[in-house]
Amino acid sequence: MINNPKDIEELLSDLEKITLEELDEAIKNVDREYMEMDNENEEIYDIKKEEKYYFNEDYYDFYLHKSENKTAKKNNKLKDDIGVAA
Amino acid sequence: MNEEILLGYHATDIKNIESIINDGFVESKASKDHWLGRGIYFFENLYYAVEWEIIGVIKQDIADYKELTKKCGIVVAELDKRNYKVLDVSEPQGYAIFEYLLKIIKENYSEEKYNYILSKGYAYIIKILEYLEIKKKKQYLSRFDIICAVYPKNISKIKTNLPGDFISCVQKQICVKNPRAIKKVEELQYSQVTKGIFNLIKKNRGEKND
Repeated sequence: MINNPKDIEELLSDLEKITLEELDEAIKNVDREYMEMDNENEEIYDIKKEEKYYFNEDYYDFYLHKSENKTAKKNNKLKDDIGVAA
Repeated sequence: MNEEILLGYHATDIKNIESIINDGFVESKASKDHWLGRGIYFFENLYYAVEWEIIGVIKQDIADYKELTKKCGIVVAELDKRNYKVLDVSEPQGYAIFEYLLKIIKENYSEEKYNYILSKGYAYIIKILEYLEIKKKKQYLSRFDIICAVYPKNISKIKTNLPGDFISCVQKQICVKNPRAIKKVEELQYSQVTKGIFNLIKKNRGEKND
């Protein structure tokens, strides 16, 4: 069932039990993850500029992966993920 | 509208189709592209699956339809929404979860921090919950078998900023957390429908029809 009120209520009640300390620790952890992602994005941006990749919409930036010749490592990772990304 | 089944389209390399049909999907880990956390990702609309073939599978700016049909495939899955728990965060009931967490963050963090988290959208909140799930060994979002959300980018709608301009064209994605909720999978056959979509994508991207 989609958005069963009972499920939502139970989840909200469990979320209320999360302490501020726990939330703070989680936020710090996610921030660290985003910082790593931002660094990776910067690297992608440099490659994009270098290879004159351009897109008109931000939308396409979201999906942009590194090009094949420059990023063997990244592509191997993608290869492992083939079949999992919609 | 089917009350029992939710259809999802998954675009991938043609080489993966057989293994998906025979052995099932491989769950992806949470990453930049997997914004709803770990799971198996589908588009609710076939349009975006065809588009993903171009920009996600063959990764080309300009694509040829014949080449696309040779290199890519689309799996259509029937997702059981009757017997499995579905969280749709694009509906007010589902969004209440995010609203609650955002409220706590707003009350306890600086405006700058709150705005930063807002700018990251659902993905940030989902990451918080996934971290807490591991840390506290509890199930938050994982108690749901399927999560649906609207990806906050508008593909073909032109923004006018006019008052009353509420027509929207959205991209809804489905992340299946529990593979058992996938009732049936089959390969989608390319047809005039997919070709029509392909041409529309090209038109939307300012390219000539194939």
